[in-house]
Amino acid sequence: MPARALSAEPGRSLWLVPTSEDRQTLDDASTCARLLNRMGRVVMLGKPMNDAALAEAFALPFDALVELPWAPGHLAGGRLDAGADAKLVVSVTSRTAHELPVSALFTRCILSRMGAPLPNAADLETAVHEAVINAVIHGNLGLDSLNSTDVHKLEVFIKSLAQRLEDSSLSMRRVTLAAGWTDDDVWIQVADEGSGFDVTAARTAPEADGASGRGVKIIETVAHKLEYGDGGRCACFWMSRRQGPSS
Amino acid sequence: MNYTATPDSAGRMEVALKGRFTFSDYSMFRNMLATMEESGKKAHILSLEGVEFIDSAALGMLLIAHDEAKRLGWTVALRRPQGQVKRTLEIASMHSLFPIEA
Repeated sequence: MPARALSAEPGRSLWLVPTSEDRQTLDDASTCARLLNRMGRVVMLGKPMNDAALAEAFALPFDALVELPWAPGHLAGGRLDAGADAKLVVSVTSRTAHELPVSALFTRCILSRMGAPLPNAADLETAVHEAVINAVIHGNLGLDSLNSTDVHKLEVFIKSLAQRLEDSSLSMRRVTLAAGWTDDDVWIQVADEGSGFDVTAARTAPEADGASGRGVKIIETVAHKLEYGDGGRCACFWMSRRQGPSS
Repeated sequence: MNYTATPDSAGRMEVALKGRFTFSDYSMFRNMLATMEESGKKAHILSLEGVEFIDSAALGMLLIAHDEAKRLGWTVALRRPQGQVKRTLEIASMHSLFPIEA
């Protein structure tokens, strides 16, 4: 189904994907677009949310892509307005980030907007994806790491994950990705709405020997710098556009 | 991600994985392990040639397969990881746990 252009004026556009005639959805989209005033070209994602709708939305020339429902204060730390130098912002629910290839599409979008090829393009998707996993699983859904390779523990973990994805108070928490770049580097910020974590303790913890806990190490390996803010709810990493993979 | 399991010419169970192998695949992976167990084979190959992307959650699942194989007296090898998959396996030093066939 084609994207619906709700409004268009110089430097400012609003699309709704997929097209909807539902009055409430249209009102929500228009309200959100006004709140996102700084971002000139906005895509609102309605329902049903699936692979095709997401791919269609990412193909539009947007500055911000926001899954509905969205309300003021429902975005981690008001982050949509925070990154003044962000060139691209995507905010989706944890359910969507879990079920659909958001990090792959976000990364492809960055690479396409930057123009010049990135020497470590595959590493960029790896790092974005790892930050999204942490934001969804440990941040918004509040699941502990799977610190075991026991199959029975895996079954318990699968059950807990399914239960938490069914709990809309958790699965509707948002993951917000922002990106910006210069000629020298690209930065990515991934924020969640969970309880955060003790960054110092996590970084000095022994190396993981269970089935979880390798994501941060992978980001630290492929990125040139990784920082946390907002009590662990916001990860930000930088990758060079000039050097090859960092290891 | 999806997978197909077929015996290879050497009598091993070859499980060919295809697509993105990520944190969305825990349930599928549990089914895959059950398929391997039900096959009655003692030697298993996880073919990664068709896997286009892998994440740390999937690495964890491979470790579960490794430890389950050890417990049941199986062998498990990985076959032909490519591109991002190969690099991520290297970062996680998975070659120290699994034979990796070219």
